[in-house]
Amino acid sequence: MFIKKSALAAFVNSAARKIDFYAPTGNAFEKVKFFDEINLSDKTLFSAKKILFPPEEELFSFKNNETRTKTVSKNTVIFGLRPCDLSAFEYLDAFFKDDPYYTKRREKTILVGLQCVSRFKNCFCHLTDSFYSDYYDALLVEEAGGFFIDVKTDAARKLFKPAKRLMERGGGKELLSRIKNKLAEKDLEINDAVIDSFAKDCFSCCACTSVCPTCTCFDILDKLDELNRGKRVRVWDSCQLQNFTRVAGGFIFRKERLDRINQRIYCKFDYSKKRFGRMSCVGCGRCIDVCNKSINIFEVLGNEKPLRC
Amino acid sequence: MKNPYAVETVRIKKCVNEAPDVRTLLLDKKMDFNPGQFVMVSLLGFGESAISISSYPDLQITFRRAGNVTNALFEKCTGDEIGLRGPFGKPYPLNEIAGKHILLASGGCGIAPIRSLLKYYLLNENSFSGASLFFGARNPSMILYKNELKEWRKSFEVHLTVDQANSEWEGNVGVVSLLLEEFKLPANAAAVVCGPSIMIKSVAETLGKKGMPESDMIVSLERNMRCGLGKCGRCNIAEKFVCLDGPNFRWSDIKWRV
Ligand SMILES: Cc1cc2nc3c(=O)[nH]c(=O)nc-3n(C[C@H](O)[C@H](O)[C@H](O)COP(=O)(O)OP(=O)(O)OC[C@H]3O[C@@H](n4cnc5c(N)ncnc54)[C@H](O)[C@@H]3O)c2cc1C
Ligand code: SF4
Ligand code: SF4
Ligand code: SF4
Ligand code: FES
Repeated sequence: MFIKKSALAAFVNSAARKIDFYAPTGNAFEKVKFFDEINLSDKTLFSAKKILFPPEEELFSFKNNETRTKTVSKNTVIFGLRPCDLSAFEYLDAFFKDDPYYTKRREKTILVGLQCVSRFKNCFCHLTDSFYSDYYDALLVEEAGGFFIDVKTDAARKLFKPAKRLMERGGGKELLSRIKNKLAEKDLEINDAVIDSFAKDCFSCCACTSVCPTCTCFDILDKLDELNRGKRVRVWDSCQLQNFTRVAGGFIFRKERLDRINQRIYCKFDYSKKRFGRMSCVGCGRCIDVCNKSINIFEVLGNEKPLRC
Repeated sequence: MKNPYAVETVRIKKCVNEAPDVRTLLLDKKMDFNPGQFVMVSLLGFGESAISISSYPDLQITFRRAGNVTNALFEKCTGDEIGLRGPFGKPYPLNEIAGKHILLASGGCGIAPIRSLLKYYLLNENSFSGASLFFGARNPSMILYKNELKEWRKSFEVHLTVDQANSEWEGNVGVVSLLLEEFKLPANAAAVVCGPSIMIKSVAETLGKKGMPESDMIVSLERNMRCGLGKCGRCNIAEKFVCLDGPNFRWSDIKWRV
């Protein structure tokens, strides 16, 4: 189906009144009320993971030995997710499938994708098999004057029902099939010499892991309001920090920077494959965009090929 | 969906001082576990710590004061309540070591999970061909489970050693692997080792020299743990998570990373 930009805008303006509607506004995915706030032409610096896996989240509150758990689940739309971001949610869904906090939010969340037609600076999704992802409820592909739209799931059909009469037949299916045919490179090799060269530059700021759509590491902390009352929270944490692996007695398992960089790279390209059958890196390039030291995870794979559709 | 972070309040039935700064708590809870597993012990407001289960089939933990949580835990005694979740981790491979002579080597608090296996052994003596315990402590006052040693000696050999002797100590002095060097390895033996990683390495090396295959050595590893669920991300050794795939590993599978 095809939907004109003005029709899509009208739909968003009305839908965003009723549900939590997150969309890219430039640097991040934020809750929007109007289509005008949305920026569909850039890649966000921050990923959308924080909507389902917040930087700080209450696990439960407690008073003396009594605990109370509240999980949040609100009807939510995440709109304008690029294929890498869809692929990242596919990974997060598998990773957090037994996590009640994540899944409660996720159950009521609809993912609306936005197909890329070319890569942004630093993207290498062609190497991670995420230039196209079918992990969406609905997908938009921009065309002259509007969007080709594929409304795939029941949840998305319900969401887009008010806009149905605004949709027209047609739309560039061919573009999508051309994109799908771009197969990813297989058998990527990790070049350890390149990782070695990162160690002298990196200063463990953790910007890379915080912008990454598939970094899931956290710490658990107790926060007290009064002596006997408080809450237990989980907060984002990073393998790039020394204290991440410190044990009682002071020993640190990944004390050297090289060990920590190795952890990040292998976590993304290798360990994830062994545990989940796929890489967790989706090639979004955000860790490269954000690194002050121009550390480029993609160079580790080192076989640049142009990608055009 | 069960909330794996939910903490259950459990009463302490009994508390025993084992050594300066080391205490054993008997908990008033029936838990379905096997030797080698651990629990996450909570004191709300202080945090959580991974602690091995040190008994079988009753639920006991033995811990050393090492920081925030364990210091606060040290204030708790009979009748007090603590928070608990678990059990976590893979137990010792009981089927694999059945029928064998089990050689148990431990250092410091590493004897805690080994004691759980010993208690299992005492209940299932017929399914093993024997057991020998080797335990190394920093000094004589740090020898744990002192009042059980006599009972244990009726069923299996107990070899003790200390790093630093005092005037009353008449036993062995030196590290555990030194004790092992003089030990005649029975045929069909398997080892279970828990202690600091330097001790694990030297014990494995000694046993290797004596001809024990590395796949017959089970070692328990310690890492910083926050969740016990393979999620917080800090306990991994390459693609293995110590909280999920361990803490007990075959030495042959993990030695290159220790
Ligand atoms: C599988 C497993 C079984 C264990 N069994 C026992 C046992 O039977 N008896 C015993 O006395 N100890 C055991 N430990 C070690 C025990 O978990 C730590 O000594 C304890 O968590 C220290 O925490 P704390 O809160 O008292 O100190 P904190 O003040 O929290 O921590 C002191 C330092 O230790 C680090 N740390 C936090 N959590 C852990 C952790 N889980 N393991 C190691 N370091 C940590 C902190 O980052 C900090 O640097 C076990 C650890 C593991 C992983
Ligand atoms: S953003 Fe760059 S400097 Fe910062 S931790 Fe990551 S790789 Fe290192
Ligand atoms: S590792 Fe870098 S490129 Fe890969 S998904 Fe994370 S932020 Fe994107
Ligand atoms: S281990 Fe490091 S790279 Fe892997 S998910 Fe955690 S923070 Fe990200
Ligand atoms: S303790 Fe959290 S991943 Fe192992």
